[in-house]
Order: sequence, then C-alpha cells, then structure tokens
Amino acid sequence: MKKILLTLCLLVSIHSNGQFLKEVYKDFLKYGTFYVAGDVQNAYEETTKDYFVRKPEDGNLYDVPEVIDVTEYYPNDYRIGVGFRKLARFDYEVKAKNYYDGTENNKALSAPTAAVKGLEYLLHYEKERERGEEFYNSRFFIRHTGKYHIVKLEQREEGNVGFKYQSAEVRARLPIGKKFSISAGAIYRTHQTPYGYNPIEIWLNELKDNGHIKNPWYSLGYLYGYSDHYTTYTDNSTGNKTRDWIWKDENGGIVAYSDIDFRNTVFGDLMNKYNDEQWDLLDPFGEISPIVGFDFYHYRKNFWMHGYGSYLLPYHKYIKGEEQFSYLHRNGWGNEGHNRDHTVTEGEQWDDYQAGLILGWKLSKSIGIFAEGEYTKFWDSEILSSSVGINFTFR
Amino acid sequence: MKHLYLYLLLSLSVVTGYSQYKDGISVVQFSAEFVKDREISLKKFNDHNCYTYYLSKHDKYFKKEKIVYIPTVILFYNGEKILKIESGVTLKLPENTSTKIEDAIDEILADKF
Repeated sequence: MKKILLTLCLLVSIHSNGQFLKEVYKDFLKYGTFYVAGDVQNAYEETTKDYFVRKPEDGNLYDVPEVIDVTEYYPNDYRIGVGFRKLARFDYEVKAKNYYDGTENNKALSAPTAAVKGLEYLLHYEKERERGEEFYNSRFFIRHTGKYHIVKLEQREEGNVGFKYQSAEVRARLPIGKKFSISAGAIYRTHQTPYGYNPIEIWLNELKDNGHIKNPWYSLGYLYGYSDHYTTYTDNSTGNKTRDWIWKDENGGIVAYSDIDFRNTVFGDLMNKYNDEQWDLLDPFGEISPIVGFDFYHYRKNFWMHGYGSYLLPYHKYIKGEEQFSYLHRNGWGNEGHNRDHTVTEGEQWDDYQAGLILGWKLSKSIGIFAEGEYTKFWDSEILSSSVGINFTFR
Repeated sequence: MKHLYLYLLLSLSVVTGYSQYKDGISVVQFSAEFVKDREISLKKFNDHNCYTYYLSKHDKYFKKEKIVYIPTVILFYNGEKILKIESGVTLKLPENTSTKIEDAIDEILADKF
C-alpha cells in the first residue's frame, strides 16, 4: 500500500512539475529570442591630417625640418553583444531585420503599456570599441503588464558616456474601453549626475564674510600645481616694456605667456577636472515619485495612432545620495556656499514628464502621412525626437 | 489650429467608426440561446478580447459578418478576419475548434516578437 501511495505521489509530482515547467516555458521563454551578435565597422578617420615639424637629429632649428604625421589613427570599431529578449512590437513597428542583434529600439521600452499582456524582457550586455576606446554597455528591462497593473524594472549603462540609470515602477492600470487606459503608481529612479549642482561655479562665486572673493579664479591653477610668475617683456626695437604673468606647470615648463592665455587654454580643462572630481565624491542619487499616465492605442492597416504620456508629480522624495546636492536643492547655492535655510526646508519640487505620439494614415493606395515624436523631460535633461513624412507611391 | 482640430476630429471619427469587436486579437463567438450547449468556452483566450453575440440581441453583427451557421467562431486581428470556423448543418463546432484558434493566435503572437 505504501509503495502504491509513494508511486502515486511521485506520478502526481512529476505531472505537476511538468505542468509547472510548461507554465514557466509559456510565461518566460515562449517567443523569447536568445542572440549573440556583433559587427565590425570601418575605423574612424580624422577629416584632416595633423603634422608636426621637428629639427633633424644632427641639425638645428633652421635646417630642413622633418615633417611628422601626428594624425591619430584608430583601429576598427566593433561591437559584440549577447542578449535574451522577449519584447512585442506594436503593429505599426516593422521588424527591421530578420534577426535581432541588440541594436533595436522598440517603442515597448518607452511606452507605459505593452503591445501584449504578460511578461516582456530585454537582457542585453555588450562590449564596444569606438575610436580605439573600449567600454561596456548593458540594458536590463523587465515588465509585466496585466489588465489592472504594470510592473517595470529597468537598468541601463552606457560606458562611453558614463551613463547609468535604474528605475522600478509599479502602477495600477484602469482600462477604459479596449484602446485607452490610465494608470497611477510610484516610480523609483536613480541619476548619477547631480543636476543643478555646478561645483566650480559655487567655488568661484564664494565670498568671504567681508564680501571679498574667497577663491580668485587663478587660485584654481595653484590647486593643480601651476604657478604664475610676474614677468616683464621688453620690445627690443622700441624699448617698450609690458608686464604679465607667465604660467608654469609642476615641472617648470611654460604653459601660458599671460593670464589671459592661461584662461583661454589651460583653465577650461581645470574647471572640468575640478567639477569631475567634486561630482565623483558624490554617491548616485535615488528618488521616489508618484506617477500617473495614459495610453491610447488604435491600429488598422490604413490608420494607426498611439499616444502615451507619463507625468511624475512634484512630490519627489530622495532616498539615496546627499540631499543637499540633489536636484531638490538645485537653487540652494549662493555666494556663501549652500544656503542653510534651503537645507532645512524641503527644497524646490519640479515636474517631470514623458509623452509620445505615433500617427500613420494611408489616405489612399498612393498617399500616406506619418508622424512620430517623443519628448522626455527628466530633471535638467530634455530629450526630443520627432519625424514627419509624406509618402507618395507611383502605381 | 483650426486644421489641428479638424484633423483630430477626423481621426477620432475614423477611430470610433471601427467595430470594436475586431480590435487587436479578438475571438468572437456568434451563437443563439437555443444552442448554448454547443458553444465552446472562450476562457482560455482571456488574454485577448473575447465576445459572445446572440442572434436575438446582436443581429446586426450577424448580418455584417454574414453568419449562416450557429455557432460560428471568428478570429479577428486588427479588423481583419483571420479564421472563421462554422458549425454547419449539425450545429456543432468541430472538435479541434479551440486548437485551431490557439494555433492561429500563436502564429500572430510569434510574428509580434
């Protein structure tokens, strides 16, 4: 009896596991595509060649010089990536190639709702070389869309520009008819750039208690090991004398022959260096915001319209990163450094939003009108992409 | 601005002018009260749009889709008729009706990914 029961249990278990695996396959893997892809492109070529002349080894400055080609030559650009994707295309989107290689940019990644209900994902990781510089890019995107919910997780990294972004959102969704839906929930987003915080501007504008400048611009040069030397120039033909500051680097080499020369050449790089160093001291920021959105989708062969929008309400709450340097306190900096009153207050809220519209109308067999646009405003960053066109086909 | 309003109005009229039961992937069963027991269950297609219309209440759809036999099941995709399965004179849908619909939906979905 025991054996029979055991066998029965085993059979039920195998059956239920089989059923479970079937469900897992249906939800996670079915229609998914695993790909490994890459490409090699021609190396980037400078539009003009750069040359340098130097005196011959056994000659002097006034002998016939050697002309040296100092143009930068790059190796071929390449990209190799691996990925796993299950992202449905909207009906107006045409599959660009017969295969996936990780360069696709589907509307599914930006629209709040999906072309099909259920689980969608994109897991992509690649190595790229551009103009001789090697870096890694990645994009991880997971979304589950149901009749009454949207759950989305996203992480992006673009190595060449040092861009990193993470987000997680949960929304309740209310369909109104078959084509229109509204949604509301909360979103968590990160940003690495301390938008609105410009360390060099703050440093240069800082004043002492007596109202005098605390950090004269040239003191930035001292910070990085440069020194200025008061120098008198004499015009040998007229005997006129002029005076200015010569700038030398740590090794004593002259880098600029006057203050204005230093400001126009070296100083710009120092400002960027200072900003980068100060920004690097800060941890990435993370904030939570309430979000509402809508989505309208209609498709027929001859007319389609897809409109969507998301609005992040001005109730942003930072939960990661130093709030003093966050976007909330972007206007909290003055000549005395960070405004203390501003720190103790809640800062200044702001509106973030994203909207997109895709329209296509085939007026007849010959004429078609198409328009596409998407606008995103997140913190200080604004991204607009749009295109419009009329097609006339001769038949 | 006038043109924009005009365009939007025109677009809305075009959008609302379409039969809603043909939107996206829609499984529509045309039936009548007296053959209710001959209908197939549309439960397994719940991820898509499912409609059951009865002759007594929605006769205009029957005329529009030229329904001759009941029950009849039609699979629409963005307004286009993809599959039509009729019961015929026996008033009974073929055994593999659900499988045929599933296969057709599978083909549509596979093309979307």
